[in-house]
Formats: sequence, C-alpha cells, structure tokens
Amino acid sequence: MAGAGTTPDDPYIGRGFVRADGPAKVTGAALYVDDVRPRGCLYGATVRSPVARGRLKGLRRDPDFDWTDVVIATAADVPGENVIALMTDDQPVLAHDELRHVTEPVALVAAPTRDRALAAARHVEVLYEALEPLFDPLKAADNPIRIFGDDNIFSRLEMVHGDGLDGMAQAEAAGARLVRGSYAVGLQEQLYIEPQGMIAQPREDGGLTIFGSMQCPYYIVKALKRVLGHDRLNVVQAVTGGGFGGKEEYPSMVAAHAAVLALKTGRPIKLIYRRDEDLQATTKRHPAFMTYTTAVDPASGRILAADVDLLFDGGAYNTLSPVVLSRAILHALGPYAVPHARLNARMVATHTPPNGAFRGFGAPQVMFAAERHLDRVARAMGFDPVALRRTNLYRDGDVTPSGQRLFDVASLEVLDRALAAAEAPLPPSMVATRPGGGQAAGRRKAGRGLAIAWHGCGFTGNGEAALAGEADVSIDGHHVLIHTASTDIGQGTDSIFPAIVADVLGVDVQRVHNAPHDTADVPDSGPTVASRTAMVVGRVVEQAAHSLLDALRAEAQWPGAEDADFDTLLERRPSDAPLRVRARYEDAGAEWDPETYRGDAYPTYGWSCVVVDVEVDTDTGEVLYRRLVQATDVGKALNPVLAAGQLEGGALQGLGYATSEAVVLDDRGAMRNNRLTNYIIPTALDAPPMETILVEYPFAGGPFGAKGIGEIPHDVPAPAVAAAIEDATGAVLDRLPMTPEAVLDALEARETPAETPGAAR
Amino acid sequence: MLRIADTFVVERPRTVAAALALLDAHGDKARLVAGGTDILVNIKHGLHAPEVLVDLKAIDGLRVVDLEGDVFELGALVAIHDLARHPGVQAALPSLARAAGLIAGPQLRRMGTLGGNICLDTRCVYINQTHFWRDALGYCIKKDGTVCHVTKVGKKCVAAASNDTAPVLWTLGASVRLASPRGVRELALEDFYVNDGEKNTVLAPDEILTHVRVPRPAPTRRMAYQKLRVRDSIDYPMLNLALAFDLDGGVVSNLDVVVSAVAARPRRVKRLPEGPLSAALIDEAAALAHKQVRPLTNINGDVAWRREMVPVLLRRAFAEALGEEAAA
Repeated sequence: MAGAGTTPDDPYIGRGFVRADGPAKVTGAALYVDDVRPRGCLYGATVRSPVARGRLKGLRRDPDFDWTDVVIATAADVPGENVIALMTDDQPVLAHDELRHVTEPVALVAAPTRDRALAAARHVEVLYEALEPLFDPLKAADNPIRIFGDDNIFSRLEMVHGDGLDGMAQAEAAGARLVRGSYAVGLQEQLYIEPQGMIAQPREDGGLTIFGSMQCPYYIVKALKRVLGHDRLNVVQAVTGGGFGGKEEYPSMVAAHAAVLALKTGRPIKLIYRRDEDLQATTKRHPAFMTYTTAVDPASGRILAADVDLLFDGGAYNTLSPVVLSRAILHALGPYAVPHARLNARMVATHTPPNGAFRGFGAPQVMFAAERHLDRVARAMGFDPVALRRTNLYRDGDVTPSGQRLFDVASLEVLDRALAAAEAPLPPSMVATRPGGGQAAGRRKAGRGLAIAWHGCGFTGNGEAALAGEADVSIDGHHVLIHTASTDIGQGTDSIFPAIVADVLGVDVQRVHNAPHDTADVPDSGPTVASRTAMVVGRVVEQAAHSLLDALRAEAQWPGAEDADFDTLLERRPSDAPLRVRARYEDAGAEWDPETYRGDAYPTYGWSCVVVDVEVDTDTGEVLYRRLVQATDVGKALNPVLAAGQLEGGALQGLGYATSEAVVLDDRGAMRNNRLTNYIIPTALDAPPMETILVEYPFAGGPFGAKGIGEIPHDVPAPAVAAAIEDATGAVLDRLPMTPEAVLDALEARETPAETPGAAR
Repeated sequence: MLRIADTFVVERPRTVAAALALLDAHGDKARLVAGGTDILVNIKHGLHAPEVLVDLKAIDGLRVVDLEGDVFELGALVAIHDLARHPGVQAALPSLARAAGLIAGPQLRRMGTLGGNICLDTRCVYINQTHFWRDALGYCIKKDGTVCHVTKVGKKCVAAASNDTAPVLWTLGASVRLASPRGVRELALEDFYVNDGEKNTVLAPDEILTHVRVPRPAPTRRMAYQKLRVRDSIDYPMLNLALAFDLDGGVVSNLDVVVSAVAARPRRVKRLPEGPLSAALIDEAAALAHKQVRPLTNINGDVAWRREMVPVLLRRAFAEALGEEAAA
C-alpha cells in the first residue's frame, strides 16, 4: 500500500495506508520520555497535600533521612508567577497558602536516582492546619466555605431559544405533556497507558527545553512563560502513549515542576508520575447532575419545548471547565430540533482534584441525559423510542438552540444504516465465544438499545478564527517536511498529514515527514483537542502543500512551469535555497456572539447512531455486551482503517464509562481505587463484536471533506447500553456507571415501583 | 511506573536440594520465586525486601504432569497456561483446568505456576498498595502496623485468599508435598492453609512446595468452578466457588463446596445435603452457602453484592457440573 507510489488516480486519501509510527512502536524503537536520559539528569518527585483543605504551615524534613544529595523546591523557588496560566490564574504551580485539594503539589524534590527522589519525597512532611472541606457539588454554590470567587461558581451559562419558558407554558396550555427527569454521571479517568512525564533541560542561553508526553506544546509555552518570567524556552513532544484529553492541560503542571527543579539545580530534570500518583493527582471527566423537563405533543411525539439545568463539578481549580460547560450546554438537547428552550448551566468548585479535558469534553455527560430523557418520554407517553427519535431528529434547515441553521444533516442516514446493520444477523466470523461461560442462560435477558449523537467538530464559536492556526511545509532535498504543533498521541496525525501532502504534491508518502513537534521550529497550529486536528489543521496543511507548489512555480523561470508536477519543479529549481511556506486557518465567515451564545456554535457537526445488544445477567447484574453497531458521519474517511479504529476504541471507552469505570473517592476526596487492578477499564475480551459504518457527508472546510471524529464515538454508547438494559429487563438506570450492583438495585426497584416513572403529568 | 528495588541477587539452583541449601544459608533474607507474577509486584509495593531471590525455574522434574496412577502428580512449576490447556487435565480434572484458564491474562498464565498460585499471598485493598499509599493511610497488621483497616477492631489480619486453584484442589482432596532439610512431608491442602491473612499457609521458611497430588476422581465424580469478577480477563476473584459431588443413579453424595476470596483461608460450606438430585437439594445447598459465607470489605466489590452472589455461583456450579447451561 504505502510506498507503492501514487498518482492522481491512486491517492492515499481514502485508503488504509500504513501508519507512519507503526514500525517504531511495534519494534520498541520509539522513544517515550522515560526512555530518554540526558547526561547529568536528576530525578524529580512531588510532595503532595495529604488533606482536602488546610492552611499550609510549612514543611518538615525528617531529620533521620540523608538529605545530602537532595534538593527541595517550594513555591518560593518559582522564578516568575506561581500560577498555571489557563482560563483563569487560580491554580498555583505549588501551593503556598491554602491547600485546596488532596494530592495538590506542595513541594518538589530532586535527587540522583528515581528511588532516592521518591524516598526523599516521602520524608518531607506537609504541616498544615486542617480546615473544613466542601465536597458536595449540590451544596457548593453560595456555600460559606469559599473555594472560588464569591460564590464557588467557575462559570455560568444561560441560553434562551425561541420563546424559552414561555414556549413551554404555551405548549402545556395547548395540551402538551410535561416529562421531567434527573440524570447523573460520575468521574471517569482517561487512562492513557503512558503516565504523565516530562524532562526539563537547561539551555546554554539560560533558557529551558521541555521534552515530554503531551497533546499541546504551545499550552506549555504559554504556561511556562509566566512561570519562568521569560520566553527563552522551547517545548518538544516525545512519542506519547495516549492522551484522551488527560494530556491537554495537565502537562503544563508537570513541565512547570520539572522547570522549577531544573532552574534550581542547573541540571536536567526528569519527572515521571507513578500510575497510582497519576490516577490520584491528575484531571478526570467532570461529574454532572442534569435535570430535563420537556413539553411533548401527545399525538405526534414532537418535543415542543425544553427546560434544562446542568450542574458540573469542576473540582478545586478552574482548568478548562468553562469551555467544557460551553460544549455541554450547546450539546445538551442532543441531535433533536426543539423550537423553544431555556438552558441553564453552572460549573461549581469543590475541594476535590480538578477535573478537566476528556474525550467528548462535556458532551458525553449531557448526551447521556438527553438520550435517557427521550427514553423516559417514550416510556411515559407510550412512544416507540426509535420512532420518537426519528420524529425529532434534526433535518436540513433546522435551527439549533444557538440559532445555527444546519445543512447536510446525516442524522436520519446514520439511524437507518445502523438499524439496518443491526437487523442483519451477526456475521459468523464475528460471533465471539466468551471464556468463562457457565452463566445460567435462562436468567440472562437479551435486549437492544439505541442512541444518537451529534458532535460539534473543532473549537466552539469563534475559537478557530481567534487562534488562526498555522502550518508550514518545507522541502529538504527530495523530501518534504510538515511543521505543525499538532501531535500524534496514537490517533494517527503523523500518518494523516503526510498522506494529505503526498496527495496534493503527487509524491510517494515515504518522502513526506513530520518535523519534530518542537516549538522552536513549528508554528502554533493549535492544541491537539476538540476533534479538530485532521479537520482544521489538516486543511491548513493541505493549503500549505498547495502554497508550496505555488512557490515552486513562482520561482521557476521556464515555460510550462505552471503545469509542471512537483518532481519536475524540484529538479529544475534555479537554486537549492531553503524553501518553506506557511498557511493559516481561513475563517469561512462564521458568526458567533460569545456574550449571547447566538450564532454558529461549530463549523460543522458529526452524526452517529450506536446500537448495542446486551444480555443482562439478572442474577449478578452484569451487563454482557454481545454486539455494537455504529454508523458515524465522518465527512470523508481520510484513512478508513484509522477512522474505524478511532470509532471502535472510542466506543469501547464509552462502554467502560457505561458499566465498569467507577472512581471511588475516600473521605479526603482521593481516588481510592487508583490501580489498574481496581479501576476497571474494558479489556479486549470485554469488547463485543463491532460493526462500524463510515457515512460520508463531506464538510467543505475540511481536507477532502473530512470531519473530526476523535470524540463522537464516546458520546452515546452509555445511553445505548442503558436503553438496552431497559429493553431487556424493564430496569431503568439514569446514573453512570451502571455497575452490577447498580443494575441489581434497579432490577429490584423495578419489582417494587415506588414512584411514578418520569413524574409525568 | 512502579520501581523494583535492585537490592537483591537472584540465585538459580538446579536441584531442590540446592534450593533448600540456599534457603538454609540465607534464612529470612531469602525468598522463593518461580513465575514471579505475585512476589515481584509485592516487592515493588514494599511488602517484602529480600536480599536473595531463589529462582526455582531451573529445577528439573517439577514440571511433571503424571495422570497415570491412582494419585495424579502435578509439579509445582507447571505453568498455569499448560495446566489449563492440558488435554488430560481437562478430561480428568475439568474444574482445575477451568480455574487455571480463568487466572489473570495470557501473559501471566504463561509465567505463573501451579505452585505459585497455591502459595499466592493473601490480598486486601489495604495491603496491595504502594508503600506511599500505605504510609499515607497508616500501616496495618499484615505489614508494619498494628491495626486492621477492614475490621477496625480485630487483632488478626483478614486479607483474602485469592488463588483460583486452591478451592478447586480442596474439593478434589488434593495434598501438597513439601521438601525441607528435615525431609519430605505431605499435607492435605486443607491443612496447608490457616486462617491468618498475615501468612495463610503452614509452609515453613526453609520449605519448598514441590508437587501437588490429586487422587484420581471416581467416574461418578462431578466438579465445577465459578469465579466472580467484572471483566472477563486479568482480575482476581471477587468471590470464587468450587464444587464437587458424586452422582450415581441420580443420587448426590459427598457434596463438597469450598468458597474463597472471602477470608484468609478458603471456607468449606458445612452440613451440605445428600440425596436425589433435585431443585430442592440445590436450593438447600445455596441457602446454606449464603448463610455461612460473609464477605468482608477486604477486597474489591460491594460486600452486600458479593454475598448475594454466593448462592448464584453455587447454582451455576451445579449447572456447570451437570453440563447444563440453565439451572436457575
């Protein structure tokens, strides 16, 4: 496949070309941050708060410990501002006054070996005066215990669509029924396989090079300029073993710590988190409490109005929470046209470790609620859940709550194609034989559930225009280099970009390479987040490749150059002077008002329908996955193999969110099950046979029509599973995760109906 | 990544006698290792700090699977994977093959050994943690401390036996052969385990488990093994149950049920019924098991849920032993 050469008739795009990073990862040649050890390197370790809240009184070194080769750094050693610059400047590099969550970094140690560093950190005691913590997000707003601002609310959003609540009153007066339901989801851990890790190395000019595991090199540049008080630094991405959002903003903290130690010691510092430490200290998916009231026409099933209240728990610091809340409120109604709506959303502070970016970024929470609520409407009013969805799904020309008119809506096609595939018998080659067995078949109940997602691709609102991401392409002999800050974290960016450029230039992809993601060289193409990299940056890279052809033609002084191909232009260059061109994101003229939340919330939307077949073991409450079908609009599958891989991996992560991934906090707010043995992510044996249908409704703003697909597969497996459990057993589950214990409880509740389901009036 | 302290040396004796000599020479500074799938993790967690690891893998003769005589002989170094896949074991001791096949994941089954699984250290949410974690909470009876975080008041460690093979071998009437400088002794497996989570076997520090001996089951013997866990791979049991009985002319006799992953020692359900195979007999056995087995908060999983699963596993074990899919 790759390497076979390419012609305009034989493009790479649309084919399952081989991953650029595959051989090095398979053979072990790829260098992750922990594989690198600079000469003279010291090892860092972090001293953390043992309490959820307290006044920091100082540190005590164990007098019996040998401190001769250990350096300790505290907030006083931060050369610039003691702040991790992000949305607001509330989170310190090292706590210096109040301790606001358990595991908050208080001090750093450096020592010649990792074991010495870890031992030294254990022998530094944090002295504090304990203060009463605030854990309950439902009691956080306006609580006398203050964490953030004067009301503990990081951000608050309100949207009114159509006539808002007046529309609800009018609908009710006209005979619509109101259905109300509450939904809740817990924390989820990203669980990248490579823990957080960073190396800070002093440069000869007094600056620093930061090298490590990350999604967003320029976030670290932005944060460290403030920490260092100067901009003599460059940030280089190491081969990165997964991110899922967990390496969006948190690596700035790890990098800042390594930098503080490197400056204090004058030596390179390597700081790698242990798994248990990583699970307890770093960000997770926000828990959410969501209440929906909808007015539904009893004859047609049309949703006429909605009132939605969202409460998200941000933890102790703001991180990116306001942006998460923004995506949550914009996706809160699901892929359904509702003429009148009022939506309220609050992000509150608690004394728990800060929550942050995670695949889906607020959407999986609200889409669980939206889809479960639609099932509640179906149950309460006697509609078929699929027909109810079909009635209300967005169609071309419909308007979203922000006033955006939708075109090229793939909602019905993904629904029909997923349903059709699920109706067909499972292909014999995919029938899995589960080990174990022995379950009592008569007590297993089979069921099928369906859920539908929409997902805004790229940044919200005017984010892309404000960022104006850039990418360069240059020539290096007979090779072509792509220069971006967009990292490959396992999703395939380093394979996709060269294929785009190879097709534009008409060259073998083996001649196209990504330059190292080093901020000393690459322009800021933006962070690797928000399902934006292939779609937004991929388009900028495509344009840069066209610009390279234009530049070669412009310097050619010979007739016919305007029609010549890349290799001819290269051979007949008048000189071998370096040639490097830059392209910048071009805004398509989206209109967005961040004050009123009116306008084009996203450049485009992806659409996905997930059908899950389960068997519920009514003796144990276990949910056994039998089949997962998804039909997902990807715009254009740049590489169908990678695209399907993204969608299937995301769906499996969504199944973990559904039934097994429970984060248990102790009475200090620390994750109790911070091990791979007790934070239960699905294994290959737990994955059902998956059928993945790639639907292509091209987006004119993406390269070759591509849309972002990184997040949408995580959005609705969980509500599809809940619907399947209900279909199988009649048990209603409105909270995540749906562990065996919770399913058994729901089965028992089903037998003794305590309250009117849905409180339908 | 957890670090393993490189403060020990590894010795590789070729004979049991040489291994015993090494144990004798190094005393409590030495520990045995075979597959290493348990002890290396525990060393990383700071539960042991041996100066010498005596690696048994080079010893000949401990990989025997002899199913010829009236008493089967299984070497301590038989890999879990080989035990699970052995056609003779699958035919003669199906519950043992099944239990072995449900241990951990493929890599660990290839490294881990039968002897290692029998000697698996007890597990508890408060002990299988990093030193940092245990230090932050306060140590417990099993290592360096004086309190039990599970029972709060007890003076005895309640960490749970978590081996998959132990309850099965118990229902098969197995014994273990132990070699020491004093000679070789053979103990019934139920006498090998004691109800103390700190150390739940009577294996002496200078002793090596070399073989497992299992009487050839009578043709009437039926057997089964059930394991509770959330995932289909990797995990230790949240509860497990082995069952065996004779079925002759539709009559159940010598019914034996052993439940584990509950306390430090596997627990045999007492006063089990005999008589014609019937739903009533299974109901009675399930009720007895539910009454007698009380899980603790020592390992993962909701305690109330785990207890409710005791009769569920028992019914399933009956169905498995009878070759049925459904028996609810």
